[in-house]
Parts: sequence; C-alpha cells; structure tokens
Amino acid sequence: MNITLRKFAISLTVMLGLLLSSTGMAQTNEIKKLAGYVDFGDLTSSYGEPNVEINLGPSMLQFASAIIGDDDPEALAVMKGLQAIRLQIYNIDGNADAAIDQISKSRKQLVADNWEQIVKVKKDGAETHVFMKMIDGKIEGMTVLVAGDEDQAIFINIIGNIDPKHLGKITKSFDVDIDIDP
Amino acid sequence: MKDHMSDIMNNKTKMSQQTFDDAIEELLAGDLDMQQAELLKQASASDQAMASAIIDAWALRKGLDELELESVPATLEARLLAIPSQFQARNNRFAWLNPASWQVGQSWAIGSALAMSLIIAIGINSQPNRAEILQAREDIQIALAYLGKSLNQADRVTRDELNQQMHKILAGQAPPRQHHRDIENPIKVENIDL
Repeated sequence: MNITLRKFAISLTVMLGLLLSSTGMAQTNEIKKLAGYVDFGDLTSSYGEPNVEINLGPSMLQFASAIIGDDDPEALAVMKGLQAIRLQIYNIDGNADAAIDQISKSRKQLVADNWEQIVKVKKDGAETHVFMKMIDGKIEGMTVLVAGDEDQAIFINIIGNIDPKHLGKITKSFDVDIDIDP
Repeated sequence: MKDHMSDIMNNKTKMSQQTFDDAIEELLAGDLDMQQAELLKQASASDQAMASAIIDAWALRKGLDELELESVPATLEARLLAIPSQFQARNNRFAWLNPASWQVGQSWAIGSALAMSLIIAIGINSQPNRAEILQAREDIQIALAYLGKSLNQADRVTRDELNQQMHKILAGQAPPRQHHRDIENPIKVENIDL
C-alpha cells in the first residue's frame, strides 16, 4: 500500500471510529443526564462481566415500540413514555457481599437524590429494594436492586414516565418466551 | 556544422558514420555555406565512398520531392491536433479521486473529506435493522420479566411474613413487632401489577 493510500485508510478509520464511539458515548451521556438514571457502580472486579446486560436508549425503544403498532394503544402509550431500560445481572456464586455493598452505596445515593423507597425486603441473606423517582407527581424513574437471590445480583433501571400498573401490559404486548421462573 | 567538416577533413579514415551522414544531410538541406560545401567536394573527390553516398542521398531527396502527396484537410488536421488535449482533459476530470495523484497535504484533506462523507452517510442510515429491533424487543421482555420476577418475589416474601405474623399473633405467640426487623415498607409492592 503506498503512502497516500495508507494515509487515506488511516484517516477514514480514525474518523469512523471517532463517530461510532462519539455516537455511543453521546447516547450514554444523554441517558445519564435523565432524572430517572441510576448508577449501578461496577461489580466486574468482584463477579466478572454481567451474565446479562441490557441498555436500551430512547431511539431503540422508539423503534421497538413500533412492533406494538396500533393494536394496543395503552401499551403503546406506556412505551412512548419510556426513555431507557437498563438491566445488569451478575452471577454472584454464593458470595453476595460485594453486591450488597454496592446496593448499599446506590441506596445512599438514591436517598440523597430524593428517590422514594417503596419496597425493602431482607430475608435469608437476600435483599430486594425498589425505588421510584417522583417529579411533580409523575414517576420519572424506577429501579430494582436485588442481591443474593438465586445466586444472582440484579440491577434494573427503567427511565421515563412510568405507570407501574401498566408495565405488565407491555410485557404482554411483547409476546416473547423467555426462560425466567416467576 | 564546422565540427562535422573538421572531422571529415582532418580525420577521414576514422570518421564515424553518423558524422558522415550529418554532413551530407546538411549539404542537401542547403545548410552548408560555400566554403564548407567546397571542403566536402574536395573530400568526396578523394573518397569514393563519400561521393557515392552524396549521390545516393541527392537521388533520394529528388525522388521524394517529385512525389505528389495529397494534403490533409484543415478540419481533419485540427481534429487530430485536438485529440491529445481532449484525452488529457478527460483523464484529469476524475484524477483527484486517485489517491496516488494526491500531494502530501491533499491526501489528508481529500481522505478526510471522503471519510466525513462516508460517516455522514452512515449516520443518516443508522436506523436499526429488523434483527436489531427484534433483539431490542426481546431485551425489553427480558428486562420486564426480571422486573416482574423481582417484584413478585418481594411481594411473596412480604405476604409470607405477614401470614406468619398473623398466625403467631392469633396463636398468642411472639410479639408482632419482633419479626418486623427484617421487613420495612412491605405493603406498597401490592400496588404494582406485573
């Protein structure tokens, strides 16, 4: 490859990389600015990479909501209110300490950010916490923090205008079989 | 010219064939002055080969002059003369696309411009494909399923604890508040329909 071709290839690669990384970073930063965003911390050093990690931003949710169509207007309205869905599941392999420690940190931050805790259950070494972010009487974010249950640590963050009573309608609208025990 | 004649006059035997031919050509073209022509005449008088060569060349030249050549039409000549410039212009029209033709500074500038164009095109066409949308749909389902599972489990634990408390209270056993250490704000989860 001659010098000019090499320079062209380098400039193309660099600029393409910059665009792709900046697009991803821009979307991540955009989600972080939302009132309903929750920082889960990083448990990679304790448990390795998450077994399941889902990060759906506004654009992907918008496209996904198109699947519902006009058949279920109520579910469609719920979907349009959502801005992001995030999920991280770690296999804790019998050691919930790091997860519980992280949940403790997240809880402190959530309380400082005026989130409201609506569920707190501790039993047999397992913990479940549910928080909601209310702004002007509307729910703008919801998070579920679970540690120690079935050797898993589960972190869920749903961002946007949410009515928990209607979340189940979305589940029914997305008719996909998944292997999760009720 | 004088060099050719000097070579001929001073060193006839070692004269190269090229010098010999050049001198004869100049003679026939009329480029030799009288003095030089006289020198060549003297040389040819003592050199049979030179004299023969001069005669042959003169005969060839005379034969060419007598040929009747048809002149090329002016329009055809103009078109023939224009071909090189047209060909060059057509080649140059897209020459800037060839990276090999770029100068050092141009290569970066044009390369960056093309890269930006490609990036913009990618950005415009960055809508997710069907597979990505279906994956997003499944991701939503998984996230909501885990949400429902977590909340239902919390609800179940809460109900179990409440039932145990109620049974113990009804049986007159442990004081009810002793077992509330593990459960705080348990009832609100019932409002969530998943």
